[in-house]
Amino acid sequence: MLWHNPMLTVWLGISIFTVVISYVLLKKWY
Amino acid sequence: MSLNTWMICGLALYVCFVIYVGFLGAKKIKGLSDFAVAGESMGPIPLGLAFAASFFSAATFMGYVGFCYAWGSTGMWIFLAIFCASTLGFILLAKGVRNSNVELKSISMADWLAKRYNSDVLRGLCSIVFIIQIFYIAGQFSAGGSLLSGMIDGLDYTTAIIGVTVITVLYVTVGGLFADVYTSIGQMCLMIFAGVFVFVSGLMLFKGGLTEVSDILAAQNPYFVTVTNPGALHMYSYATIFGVMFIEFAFAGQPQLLNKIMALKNPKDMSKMIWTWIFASFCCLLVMFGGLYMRAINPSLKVADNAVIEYVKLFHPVISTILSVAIVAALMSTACGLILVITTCISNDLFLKTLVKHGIINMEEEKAERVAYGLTKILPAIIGAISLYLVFNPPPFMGVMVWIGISGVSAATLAPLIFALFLPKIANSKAAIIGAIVGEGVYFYLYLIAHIERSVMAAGAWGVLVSFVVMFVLGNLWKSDLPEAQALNK
Repeated sequence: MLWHNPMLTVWLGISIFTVVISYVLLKKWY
Repeated sequence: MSLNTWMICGLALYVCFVIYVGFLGAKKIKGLSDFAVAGESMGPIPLGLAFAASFFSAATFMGYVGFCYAWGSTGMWIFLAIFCASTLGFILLAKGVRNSNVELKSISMADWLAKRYNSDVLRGLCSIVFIIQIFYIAGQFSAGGSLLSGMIDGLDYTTAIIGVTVITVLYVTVGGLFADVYTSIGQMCLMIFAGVFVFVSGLMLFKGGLTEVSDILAAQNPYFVTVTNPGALHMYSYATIFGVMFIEFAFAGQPQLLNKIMALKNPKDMSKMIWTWIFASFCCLLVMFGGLYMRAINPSLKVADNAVIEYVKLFHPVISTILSVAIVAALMSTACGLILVITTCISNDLFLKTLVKHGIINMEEEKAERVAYGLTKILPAIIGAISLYLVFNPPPFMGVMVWIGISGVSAATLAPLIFALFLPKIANSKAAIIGAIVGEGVYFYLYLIAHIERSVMAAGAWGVLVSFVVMFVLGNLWKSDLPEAQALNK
């Protein structure tokens, strides 16, 4: 696991997901 | 110079800045609407920063860092709950609220819901529910008291908390939302610096970076690096994590945040405002790594909430001072936003639009307007005094105080808000009123009366979910007798 830490791996994954999904939603709705 | 001298100079400078901006704001205020939503006249970047400044509070800088200190990396779920769930909530709600406000011209959340549902009962109900936010304000003041008495030798908790209360009340009374927004920008810049500094400084302190920190944490307790931690108050199971995510999603619908959205001059700028929030919130939340670093450095602190204070003391007094002022800024901006919301609720929604409008208080319209505006000058002091009374002796858990308020508001108002925006055909006023009362009741029962749910955040989430179900069922049942919601929808 990244940095020997499953939780921080989840943290990085969800953070990136948030930026991507925000980009998609803002493009689509706004 | 000693830390004490630096702290006193830093705070004095900050207070001067806050008061100066308060007076700048005062010149721009001509009436109740200017006081409450700054007359829909502000740009997207200042408002995005103000939104973030109201969102982040002492809970972020002390309470949530404390979660990471106490429970290890699992505490980072709060980071994700805010960064992911609240951002999605913001994106979902912002457009609808701002666009509909072009027509509704509301100056508060209660006003918006009342106009949307055409129900003054809902207005009165929301105004009363919002008063529970006094707990949220009290939590902020108590954090200020603990922080300043911890950082400055010779300053006791009582004096510190009185000082924080007086300054906060003073500038919100004089400057309204203009003051709130302008000081928020400065405050947010400090908070962004604090977050980035804490994150980067740890990478320098630990030569092996996050890997080394994780190894030290795992050696202390294997659950400190896992996705759930059975010993944690809020992240002990996936269901609770869902609850935390959901309540943070609901947090985006808090009245002190939505009034920033209503103040946006051009609704087309909404996307810029949201990107400002995304950037600012990420930088700010990095401060939570401070809890992990402090745990790796010293696992034997008595009070987890103090982890960030102890961490910043490791650096040069100038840095400690800047970071402390950032925390004071965070708690003051949040307290100001909240005082503003409660003030608007009582003076506009409860007094003007409910009591005077329905003849419960007999007064001419012009005089009532003047009285309502006068109330905005007195109420902040009263709210400040009540909050001060609640935490005159430091409460055992500052974060719990804060969440009693947030969960209380969300349990009653999120369902009516979401239904009005996305399911207008079944957004029935009677269903909204019953949904709000049942949601609030479930939250109170689970957390405060029966103590079935130990997490105040999860209890709020269950309250919100129940109010959704109630509104959905009743809304469908009473679909046919709902001309007002459908008319508004057209």
